[in-house]
Amino acid sequence: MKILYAEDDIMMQKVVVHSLIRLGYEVTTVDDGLEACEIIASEDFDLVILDLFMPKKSGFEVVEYMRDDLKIHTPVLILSRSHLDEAIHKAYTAGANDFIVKPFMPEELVIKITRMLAPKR
Amino acid sequence: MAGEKLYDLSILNRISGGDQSFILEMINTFRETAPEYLEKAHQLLEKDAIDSLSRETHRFIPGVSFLGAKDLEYELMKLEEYTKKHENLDQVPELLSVISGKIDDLIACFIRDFE
Repeated sequence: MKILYAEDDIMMQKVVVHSLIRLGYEVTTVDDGLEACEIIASEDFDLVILDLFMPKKSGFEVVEYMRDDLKIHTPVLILSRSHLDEAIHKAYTAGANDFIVKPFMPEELVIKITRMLAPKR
Repeated sequence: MAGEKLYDLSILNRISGGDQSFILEMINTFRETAPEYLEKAHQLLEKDAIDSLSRETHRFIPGVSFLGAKDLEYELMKLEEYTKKHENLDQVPELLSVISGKIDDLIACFIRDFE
């Protein structure tokens, strides 16, 4: 299973990548939303994890690009510091499938990802 | 602060299954990135770029949370709140100074415990 993870914070990136690799997933990381769009346009992933606030393009803009421009329906998990962010609502509207509030417990991430990938397993 | 535990690595222990090399990597990453955050935060404050300061602080907090540095996290959240809402901005320079001190203490603590 291939996962793309877009995150500009290095510590957050290390934590999530470590957790995903321990679960046996193949993880590709990028540092901003523009890079995320470029790689999504050229490679297939089973799941895309996006930080909401990234340089160049936000997580919201990346989801919008995936759904509206590329017509890709890969599940998208949004990471955000607040569940009250208006942007999370916008990301859902644009087509994100779920979100998780940072910092999260590792078990929470595992549950979300397992659930999102379940139909593929 | 002698003898004080300014951090709690239980979350990182759970995430990594007790992998000490990963935990050390996280501590070293914090030691590298925290001074960068501080430098940027001071520059943004000087330029009165309050929204950018809020975003940088927002981005810095989760890493601090994973290290279980509750006191530092509390002060950072206060800074994020003030800058996000543009409230109590007169207190921001002092708050940033407090945060700077807490980062120094935390790094000193890591050096004491892990070197």
